[in-house]
Parts: sequence; structure tokens; C-alpha cells
Amino acid sequence: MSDKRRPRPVLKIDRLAILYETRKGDVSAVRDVSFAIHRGEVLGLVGESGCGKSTVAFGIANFLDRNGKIVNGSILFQGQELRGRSKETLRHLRGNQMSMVYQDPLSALNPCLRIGKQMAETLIVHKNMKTGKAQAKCLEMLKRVYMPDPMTMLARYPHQLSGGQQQRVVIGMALLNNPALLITDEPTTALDVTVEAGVLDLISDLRTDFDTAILYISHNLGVIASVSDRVGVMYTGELVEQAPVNTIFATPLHPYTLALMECVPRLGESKDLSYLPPIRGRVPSPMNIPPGCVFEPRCDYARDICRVKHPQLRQIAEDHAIRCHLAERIASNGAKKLKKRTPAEQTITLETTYDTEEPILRADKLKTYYTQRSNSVLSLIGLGTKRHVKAVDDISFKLRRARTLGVVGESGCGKSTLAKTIVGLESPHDGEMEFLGLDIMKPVRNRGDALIRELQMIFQNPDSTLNPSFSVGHQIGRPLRRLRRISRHEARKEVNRLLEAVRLNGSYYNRVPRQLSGGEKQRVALARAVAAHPKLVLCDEPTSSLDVSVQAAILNLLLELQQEFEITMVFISHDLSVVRFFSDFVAVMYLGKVCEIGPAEAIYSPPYHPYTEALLSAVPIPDPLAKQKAIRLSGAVPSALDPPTGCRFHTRCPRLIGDICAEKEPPGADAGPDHKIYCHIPLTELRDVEPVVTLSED
Amino acid sequence: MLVRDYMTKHPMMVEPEMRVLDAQRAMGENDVRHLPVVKQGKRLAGLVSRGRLLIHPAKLESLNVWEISRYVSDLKLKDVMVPAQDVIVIDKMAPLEEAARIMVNNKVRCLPVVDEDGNIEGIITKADLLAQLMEMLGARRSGIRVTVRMPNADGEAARLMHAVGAKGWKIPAICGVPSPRKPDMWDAMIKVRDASRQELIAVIEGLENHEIVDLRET
Amino acid sequence: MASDESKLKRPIKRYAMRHTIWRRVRGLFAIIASSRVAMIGLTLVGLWVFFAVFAPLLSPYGPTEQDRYAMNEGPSLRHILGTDHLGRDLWTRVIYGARTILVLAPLAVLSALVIGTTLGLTGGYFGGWIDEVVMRVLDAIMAFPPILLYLIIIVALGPSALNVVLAITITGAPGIARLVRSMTLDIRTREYIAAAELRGENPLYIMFVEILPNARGPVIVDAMLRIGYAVFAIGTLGFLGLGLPPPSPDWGSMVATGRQYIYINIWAVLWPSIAISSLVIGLNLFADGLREESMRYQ
Repeated sequence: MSDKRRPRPVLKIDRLAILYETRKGDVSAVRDVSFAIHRGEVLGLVGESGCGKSTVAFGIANFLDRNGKIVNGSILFQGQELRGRSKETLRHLRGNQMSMVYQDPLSALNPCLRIGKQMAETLIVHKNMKTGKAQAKCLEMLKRVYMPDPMTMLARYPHQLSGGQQQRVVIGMALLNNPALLITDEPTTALDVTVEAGVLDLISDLRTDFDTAILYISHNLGVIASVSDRVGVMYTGELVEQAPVNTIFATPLHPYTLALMECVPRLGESKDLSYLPPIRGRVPSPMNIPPGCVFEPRCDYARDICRVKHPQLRQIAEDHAIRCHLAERIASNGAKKLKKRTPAEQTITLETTYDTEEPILRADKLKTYYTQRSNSVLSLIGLGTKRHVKAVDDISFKLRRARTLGVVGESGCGKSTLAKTIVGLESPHDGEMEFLGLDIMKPVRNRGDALIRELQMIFQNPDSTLNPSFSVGHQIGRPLRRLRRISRHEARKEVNRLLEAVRLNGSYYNRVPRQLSGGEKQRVALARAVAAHPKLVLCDEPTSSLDVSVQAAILNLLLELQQEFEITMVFISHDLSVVRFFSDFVAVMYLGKVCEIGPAEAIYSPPYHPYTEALLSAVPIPDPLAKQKAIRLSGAVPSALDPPTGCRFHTRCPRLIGDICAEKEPPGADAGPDHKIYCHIPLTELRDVEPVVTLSED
Repeated sequence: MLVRDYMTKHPMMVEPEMRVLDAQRAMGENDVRHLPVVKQGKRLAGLVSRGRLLIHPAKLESLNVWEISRYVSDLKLKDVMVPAQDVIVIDKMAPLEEAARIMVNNKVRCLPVVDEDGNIEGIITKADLLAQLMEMLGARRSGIRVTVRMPNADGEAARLMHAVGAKGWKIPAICGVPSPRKPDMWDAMIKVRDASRQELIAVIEGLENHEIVDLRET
Repeated sequence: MASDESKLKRPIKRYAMRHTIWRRVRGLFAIIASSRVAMIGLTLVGLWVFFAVFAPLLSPYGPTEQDRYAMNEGPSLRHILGTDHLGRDLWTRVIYGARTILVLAPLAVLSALVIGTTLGLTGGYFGGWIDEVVMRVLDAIMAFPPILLYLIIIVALGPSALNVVLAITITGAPGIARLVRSMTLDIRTREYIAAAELRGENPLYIMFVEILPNARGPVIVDAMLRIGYAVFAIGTLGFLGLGLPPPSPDWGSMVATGRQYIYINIWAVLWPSIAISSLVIGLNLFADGLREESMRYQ
């Protein structure tokens, strides 16, 4: 289709400013944002938490809380100004031509109504459609969003659907009205990687079919790279850079964008060869915005002018806008193609002398089952058949000292249960587990203090990892006093030393968790975990709820602590890039079993287990020019109560070879030193598979 | 080549209660000539075009200055628009030439595309058709543009295509119409790539009864 | 050098600690002060506390002093609130009655708090059959209407201050236990509890040091409310003749005995009733205000 004359944009925002009135004063959530989205185009709005991207969306869609006010700027939707119009006109414009999809699909669906009824409701009520016709349209829409078995889905309740299916329903509902603008606020953050890939494909398809303009908000650079046409980067309420997606990833010019790109681990990078430079400093609190450039305190390129004069958003090239005084200088300084990052002096070199020792942690045919409580009368008396959720089923591995084992898998694969079993918070059912030569098959309350001291854990959620009633110093000091029997006075000094090790200054001793940010809380948790100098630390998704730049800082910290205290680590995550970066060995888990285990480079290059291959093809990569195979798994993860027979992955495996996969459990084939793949497909065939991901720099 | 694929899918839409002055301004700012008027969601209520928004002088003859300005400022779209029942519409699955035919026969420049319930799904204008004509004739593609006249009989066009195709040349555009003023002849316009002038002329002249009427390089 | 520093630091530290406690109290007061409802409640309660504390100074008579020449009199210059059927000054009896109530009610609630919290924490933390047993016992107690339970206990053990406290404890503990249990069930899932278990802390430590401080908010507010109920309960018991034995100036029994003479002397019934209601209202308002403010504060 010819686009000689650029049609007018569906949404044009100009110098938008939104603030919230709070008890402490007015907080500017959005200070100066301008962009335009055309039909069939996806604008990705990326930024870390607190940058105001969600507020922009709320402002457009009129979902601001009562204390939120648009104080400046214009919002032109479909050629009509939204500010200053009557409520009736606004309702008409927004209701019929704008739709929004949020992060949590369950909160957008009415739990009491069947899916079919909910979807049809919009049509029946707003368009006066007859029920039969509305139902037909809903069915058609469900097919459009690639919902498996749409007829049955219409009759189900929301809680009976998986997360990915719920999100598809929500997207379908949003599109039923054929909106001109679709706003999506982190729609895939709560979903597993493979499910996310499917939803992203869907969104890309839909924009061509429906010609809808899409505003896609996310903090995940990989997702933005795979789905957007143009990208806008926000920082503290301002738009700092805007460009087409290829430009912004190839030649980012704003220091913040540059810094963001650098601190995201790219698939294929490992800690031996590269370093994640974190962004120093903290995001300024909205009450305390620096005059001049907002990013200046954290900027490596800052000059005097940046401290004094507030930069405006200006066009540096035809389609590239930037808010920086020094943009031209940065552009000319080394044609900023993001080079492959070089290690610099901060490389962590690992001792290889430990290789000949016995493994520090060993598991053999480990099984952890949860008994499912049946509600039948028989089970009350104890006669009912016991059903088990086979969370960890027959896992074996060895881990040597000062090495890191990464465990990846999607939700329900059992990685958290594995961590809890190792550490003693869950009781294993069967198998053997040894740590430092001691048997650790018992729960933590039966373990001696000496053993407990050597095995510690870091948790996922920074907000609940610290006790809100006690100060930081007290909480770090407790393991010191309890497990190392240090006197109070000595403990104080040691705590300060630990605070320093996690890069927090002494003033944090008396602070309460309420006063700390997510990253700071996680650092305190780190200090607490290593306080007793354990030999093994388990990290259960420690950076999943943190911003990208904070994640980089925490990962670097983990590496430093690992080197300083010679700690062995087990690192659990669903983020494959982070695991690749951080681990020496990786185990890929699916439904309680290990599919593949081996050195990190071996896992991320052929031969692959089919599940590993699918996972890698689904990871959103922050590089729009990278070539990535698109292997999409059909169906949903089966229930762990009743896992499939034979190879557990066979129900969804794209490389299924025959009945053998359903009948026999796959043996472990040796694909290299320490590298095992559990698959029936012969290794020679697997070796011939092309790599899933080829980065543009290769 | 259906209307669905070439219409503007999310046109700017306005309400019947909107003032004429505001509509004029919106048209000007957004450079559109036609505005579908909708109510109850996207249900078509009427259509306004730039011309319709001009007020007929006869209406104003009897009013004085103040009344005129009041009349003008109070004038709403619902007073001047073409009401829904008089608006000619088209279905999105209709072929493109159907849209063209309707526009020619009814002397309209714009057709709202509606579904069975009268909800707007898009809008297709003369300008869209013109843009599509440009595409069909390969205006943006380079090659040798040759118009071949042949008898209006079975198999003639196929012979031409076969001859060109056998040489392995690319055909970025094809179009055919009955010859103007010669009802038993037929003109085929094709654009050919990868061929040289001489080769193409030779091939076509090799076909019996096929005559080159026009040839140019674009 | 170092020792000098530490010598300096110690008194500073002690000052700082007291300073923080003082700051906390001030903070608490700030919350109370910002709610009008709570302030009204506090004033009412404060009034009664004042009367109770300074009772001997506020009245020339003793609470059991009888004046045979002034029986069933209405308010007069000599007896501001009047006298009862035995010629005892009502004002004196009321303010001395405040003493008993203001000692017994909080005491009863405190003991209910201690027992209820312990049971709730235990059931919530351990779960399993321990939780089941505790809950069923509590359910059994809660199945009895409170008044009936009071009756049973007092009749079985005899009327005395201690037994009144016991009765209120037994009826109050299950409610508190339930509240604490539900909070514990929630807090138990937090990661800092898992971290504590990983340190090998024993269950008592986890329950009372890790969980309890984070559950105290709603529990405190509930306890405030319960003091009101306790006052009311003591009044009821007194009225039913199950409270403190005469001649102690128990408001409830004052109402009961005064009832017989209500046609000739409403004052003997009126003042104690007003006393009970005003104290209960005050306590409830205070608790309400506190709850609103603490919710908003969060």
C-alpha cells in the first residue's frame, strides 16, 4: 500500500505533563512527553519503574486516580483534542476507539462470568447486537487470537484458563470494538517466556490485520525490540530519546539509553568475558528533581552545561529525537555501534584448582512430592488414594566448589521446590542429597547449626525478604550472633564491614526496610545471607522484580561476593540471558525433570534438547537485527499431578519422533564433558541443528 | 483486491452534536475532506464533506448580522449532514471496482464502509482508488512499459503472457482494457523487467496479430 | 582512641535509644491527635481515669459510708448526684467504681491478649494437627453465648474480682486468637520467616520475635475495643449479681440494687448507667479513631 502522503497520526501527544496531588505536595509523574503513533504502528515506550510510562497511558485512557491531573500539553486522538472536552465526548471517543490491556489479565476479567458471556457483553450492550450474533463474533475473535479449542473456552470461567490464555482473551476483548488505538501496559510481564513469545507474535499479527495503532509499554528491552516499530525511552517523567527500533538499538545516543543497553546481559555473554556496567546513583525522587538535565548526576558524559540548563527534546536526524546537550558529541565519538563488551579489569577469574576436588553438593535421584489433600471422605480416614504433585522428580547433579549452577525453567517446573529442598524448607520424598559430605535429606529444623551456617538463601521478593519491624543493622547482625556466636560489639563492626561489601554506607545501619528501595533491600538480604560466611548460597530469582539497572548492580555484587568469600552458588531464574551470564553450569528443568544439564556455553549452542531450543527461541532479545528461530510450543504445561508418561515434554515437543517418546523415559546422552541431554533423538541429529539465535554482531 | 484491504480503517469520526465550526476546523487541521458522523458507538448517522459545510446564502438572506453569527455558531452537524439513509455505503468485502463504479455512477467521492449493523469499519475515497490505480499500473516500478493491441478473442492474452514468461522476464504490472474506439480489439499493458527493448519488441512482433501501440521505458 | 570513642558513644547511644522511644510515643500521639474521633474518645476515657486516680480527693465521703438521714435523695448541695437507698453518696460510689472497673477491664483484656496471642501464634505457625486442635477448642468456647459462659464460670467459681477477670479472659481469648492466627497465617508466607527458619531459629523465637511485632497493629486496635466490651461485661455481670460482692461500688450491681427503688429514686440507677455507657463509648471511639488513623497511615 502506498504511503506517499503520511496519514495523520492516530495519537499525537505534545508536551504532556501529569501530576499527582499527595499529602506531601504535588508530585510530577510525567513532565514532558511528546510522541505520535500512526495506524498499524507499534510504539514501544520503555523505562524503569517510576519513569511515568504507565501514568502516560492512564492519562491518555483517562484512568488517572482522583488525585491525578493533566496540567500541560495536548492529547490529539483521531484528530480531536482530548483535553478540555466534555465528559460525554470523551467517553464516546475513548470508549469506542481506544482499548487498554494491563499486566494482570485476571484482574481485567470478571471471575463470576463465563468467558463467552463477558466477551459478548460489550457487543450486546454497546452495539445492540443479538446474542447469537455476538457469540459468533466472539468465537471468531477467539480464533483470531489463536486460542486453542475456542468453543470450549467460551464456556469456561477465567480461573480455569492459564495466564497466557487469559491474556489472549483480554486482548481479544480489547479488539472486539475494533479500536483505533490499543494501549498495552506490560501485558506479558507475568507470563512465562514461551507463552510470552506467543502473545507477542499475536500482537504483531493483529496490528497488520486490524491496522490498530499500538502503544506498547514495557521495561523489558528484549520485548520492545521484538515488537516495536519505533521506541521511546523515558526517564523520570521525560521522554529522552525516540527513534525507529533499529536505530535505537544500533546507535543509541542518549547516555541513559546507552547505559540501559549496556547493563542488560545479552544472550551469549558470560561473566568471564564481559561485565555489566550498572548505572551509578539512584533515580531522583520526584520531590527532588535536579535542575538542568535530570540524568546528569548519573551520567558519565556530563558537562557543566548539563548541570545548569535543562535540555529540550530535539530532532537530531529525520526520525531521531533526543534530549541531550551532548548528543552530537556522543554520536561522533566512535560511531556508537554497541561494541561487544570487553571485560576490562573487573573480570572475575575463577580458580580452577577446585576442579579436582569432590563436588560440594551432590544430588542423586532426588524426589520431592507434595501430597495433594483430597477432599473425599475416604481420605479423612486415611484410606483414599494419595495423589502427589511431583514437583521434583528424579533429579541428579553435582556441583563443585566456587562454581555456579544455574537452573532455568518456566513456572511449574520445580526449580523453586528444588531450591527449597536443598536448603531444607521442604522435605524430600526419596533419593540422596549430600553437602560437604554430609547427608542433608532432612528438613532444616533437624539440621545442626554447623550445617545451617554453610547453606543460605536469597529470595525473590525484596519487599518481603526483610522483617519490617527491625532495623537493617539488627537483621544483618542476627545471623552473626546466632550462627557465628559473635559478641554484640564485634557484630556491630562486622555488620558495617558487610554493609560496605554490599555497597551501602554506614548510615543504613539504623534504617528500617520501609525506607529502602527494592535494590537496597536486596543488598541487605545479600549481606544477611553471606554474614555467616556460608559455603553455598541459593539465589531464587533474586533480580526478577528489580529494574534492569539495579539487576546489573546486584549481579555484579553477587559475583564480587562470590569471589571474595569463595561461595558456591545455585542461581535460579526464568531469565535465560541472566542465567547464561551468571552461571558456569546450567540445568534446564521441565515439570520436575532435568532436560539438559551442562556447561553454560554448551547449553546455549547446539546440540539442544528440544525444550531448550524452544526456550531459546522464545527469549526476547534486545537486538532487533538478531536472527532467532521461532519455535512455538502448542498446548499448555501439563499438570504436575498427572504428568505425561515417558518423556514429560512429549506432549508439546516439536521434534517428537514417535511412540517411544510417550512410552519410555529418555536416557541421558553424553553430549560433551559434563553435558547430558535427556532425549530419545540421537545426538548426531541434534548436533546438526542450526543455532537458535544468531546475534547481529556475530 | 477488496475494499477491506485498501480502505482507511480508523477514520476520524465526529458526533451529530458537534458544531459546524468545530468540524470545519478539524477538517482543516487534519486535512480530511469527509467526516463520517456517528452515534451510539460507531453507528453511521450521516456524512459531511467540505462542500456541505458551506452555508447556502439563501438561508442567511433574511437574517441580520447578529442573527447570522448566532445561527452560524449554533449550527450543528446534524443540521447539515447527509443523513444515514441517504448516504451511499459499501461493504468491506466488495471488490475495488465496485467501489469505483458506485462512485462514478452516483458522483460521490467518498464511501463509508459499514457492516450489517450500520457500524463504520472504515472509509474509502476517490483518493484511495487513485492511489491504488497508480499501484496497479506499476507507477512506482521501473521497467519497460508496453501496450499491446490484440484481437478480443480467447487465448490471446495468454499467448502474450506465455511468450514473455517463457523468456524468464519479470512482470511487475499487468492491466487490460478493451481498446478505445475499437470494440473488437483489446489492449494489454504490461511492464517488463530484465528485458532489453529489442528483445521485447522481437518477442511481441513474433506473435501474430499482436501490435505494439506504445512502448516506453520507465 | 577507639576506647575513648566507644566511651563517648555509649551514653550517646542510650540517649539515642530513649530518644527513639520518645519519638515513637510522640508519633503514636500524633496519630491519635489527628483523628477527632479518637480525641473525643481519649477525653472521655481520660476523664474517668482522672476521677478514678484522684477519687479520694474529689469526694469527702467514702464509698461505703452510709447516711441514714439521707436515703434515696436526689441531687443536692451535700450530695451532688444524690444518694442510694442506704444513704451512700452516689458521686463517691461512681468514682470509686471507676477504680475497680479501670483496673479489672484492662487486666482482663491483657490476660486474654496474652493467652489468645500465644494460642493464635501457635496454631497459625505450626499448622497441621496442632492448629486443628487449638481451633476446635476455641470454636467450642466460642459456641457458648458469652453471657452464658460468664454465668457458668462465676457460678462455678464464686463471685470475686479474680473470677470476673478469668471469665472475661476465657470469653475474649478465642476472638483474639482467631485474629492473631489469621495474621500469622499470612505473615508466615513471607520470605523473612523462611530466612529465619534457615538460620535455625527455634519456633518460639520465630513466633514471638519475627511474627508478633508485625501482627501487632490490628491486634492492638482489637484489644482497645475489647476493653470497652470488658467494661460492659463487668457491668453486666454486676447487674446480674455475678460481679464483685457488695458493698463494693461496682457500677453494675449499683444499677441492679437501684432498680428496686427506681420509682422513687431514679438517680441511683441513672448515674451508674451513664457512667458505664460513657466509658464504653469513650473506649470505642478511641479504638475506632485509632483504627482509622492506622489504616490511613499505612
